[in-house]
Amino acid sequence: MNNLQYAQRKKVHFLLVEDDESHAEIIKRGLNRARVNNTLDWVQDGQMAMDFLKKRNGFESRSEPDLVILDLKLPKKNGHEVLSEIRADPSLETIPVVILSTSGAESDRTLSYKLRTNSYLVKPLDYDCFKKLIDDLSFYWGTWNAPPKDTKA
Amino acid sequence: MNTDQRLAYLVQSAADAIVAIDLDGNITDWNIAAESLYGYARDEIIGRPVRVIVPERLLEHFQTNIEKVKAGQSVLNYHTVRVKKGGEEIEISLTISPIRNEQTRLIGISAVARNLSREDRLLRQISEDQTLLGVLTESAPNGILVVDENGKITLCNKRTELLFGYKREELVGQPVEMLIPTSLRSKHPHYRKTYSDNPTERQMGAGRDLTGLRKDGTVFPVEVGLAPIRLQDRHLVTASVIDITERKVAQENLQQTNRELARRNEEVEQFIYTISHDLKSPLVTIQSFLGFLKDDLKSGDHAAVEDSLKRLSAANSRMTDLIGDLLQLSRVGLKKLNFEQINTGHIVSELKESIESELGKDDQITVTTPLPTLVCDRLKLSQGLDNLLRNAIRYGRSTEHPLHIEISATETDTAHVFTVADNGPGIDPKYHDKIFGLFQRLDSSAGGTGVGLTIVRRVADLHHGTAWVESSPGFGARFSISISKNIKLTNEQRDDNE
Repeated sequence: MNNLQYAQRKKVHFLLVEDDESHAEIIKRGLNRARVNNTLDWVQDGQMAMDFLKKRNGFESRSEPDLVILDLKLPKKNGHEVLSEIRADPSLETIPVVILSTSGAESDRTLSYKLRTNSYLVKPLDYDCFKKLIDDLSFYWGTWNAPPKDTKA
Repeated sequence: MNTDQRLAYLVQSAADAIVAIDLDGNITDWNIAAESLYGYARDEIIGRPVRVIVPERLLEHFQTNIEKVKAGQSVLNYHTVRVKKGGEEIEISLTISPIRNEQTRLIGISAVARNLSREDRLLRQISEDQTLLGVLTESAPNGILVVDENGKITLCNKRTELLFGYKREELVGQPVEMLIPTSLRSKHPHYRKTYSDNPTERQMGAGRDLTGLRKDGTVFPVEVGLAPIRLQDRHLVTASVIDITERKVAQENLQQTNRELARRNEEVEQFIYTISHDLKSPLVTIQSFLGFLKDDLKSGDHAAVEDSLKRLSAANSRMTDLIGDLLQLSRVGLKKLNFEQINTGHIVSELKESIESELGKDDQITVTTPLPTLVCDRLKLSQGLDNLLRNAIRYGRSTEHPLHIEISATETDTAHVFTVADNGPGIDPKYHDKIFGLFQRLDSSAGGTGVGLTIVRRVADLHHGTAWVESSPGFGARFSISISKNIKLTNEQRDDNE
């Protein structure tokens, strides 16, 4: 691993939008043990996700996430609504978004890609798979993937 | 020349074929015109029976006429058929009358005939056609009207009388607008004008729903076919009217069934989606935390083991709740409706009793109005109200004061309305419709499954009513369900026979 030439950013910042507290816990634990250094913010519904991204209603001082990990089935505003609002907003449209949902339904996948998700992942039932998925996900987006913009120091 | 001779010449030279027979039916006289009409020479036919020139199929009819003449009547100008020499049939106009002697005694029968002219034949054809048309029109299953250029009814058939409840004499001569509902009447002369500018055979009012007005004031849906009739100096229009009440009813039933099917289909799809998604969600938790549990046991982290167990148990309960609520929802749709007279006060006191254990010490449920007796499905209404109450307990809690739930009933012209109001945090109006959708929750921490309000709305649908919420943040929520007053008791007799 040491001789791989990858550019680890200082710390990768994820925004997790997930209403199920246990699922959020699984993802948090996964990220804690992940290869890449990362920080995580967690919100529980679609409304809060938009507030976070728009820096309003208590999220005024948060920092820009490198990746949004977005569940689909969410209270108040579902994942598809959040995604389409992000893509419709000139200040947010380039933020990378990955859908992470229990649903593998074609209709959900197709709509997500139509709304310009960057990737679509189905939550694995298997514990080891889930751990590996989180590690790979954070590694890929935190290293190989080149961000849309240079992060402001 | 004496009179007898003159008469003989007159007969002999007449343009009409004149034949005389005796009372036995044998030919006694036969003039020149008869020779050319029937083809027999006088010499070969005298003395032979007149039946020779009558077609066999008409013999009976011929005999009847002969009897009439023998009785003293004449049969004038009737159209019939005779057989020429050689077998060719000819159409003739025939008058037969008695021949009497000086003592007025009947001595024979005269038959004066002429070949039917083209005009005669046409006239006869027309008269027959008229009879035929008359019968056809009268027996037609449609109302048939003829309207003149001034919009006056000039003709109508029996069916028109039956459809509109007027006698023919009340219709003929009247403006056709009398058969059109008053609200649409004023436009009709304009439509007639448009039609007469471009008269073609077509349906009236393409795309519009047409209605007819009966004498008794009732209105019924119709379909009308129009066709122009151009006579030399008159422009008439025939209107063929069908009562489509039954078709409309059938159509509406079909549409209703289709809508119902589409709704069911959508629900089935939602169900399948849910089973693949919402039921999978606790499984993801269970699988992962079983994994964490193993790791925690290895490392001997007791607190972590307990946390994992708690989560496993919660995921398990959630699974159980989801399955239970899904079953409840499917039962609302599947079980046959049984509408009976119900005292809703009883339902509500039962529900209050069963739910009391879930209330805190200072919480209370109050019934603030009398509750009606009405026709409904007891189990389903009870299920709907139960969900509203449980909903209020689950989501209507406020951190500031004890929960207070008020149950009330009001009445409109068409429905009974039950309202369950709480004093909780309230709901933003933008979510008021969304929350009735299957598995829609505004707050996933309160532990509901998002099925309850779907059940409530379904119960309302089954009672031809609706379910809705009035609320704004900070002012509690008022959930209502309406039950139509038009619900008919389930006919127990019919059920027994099924």
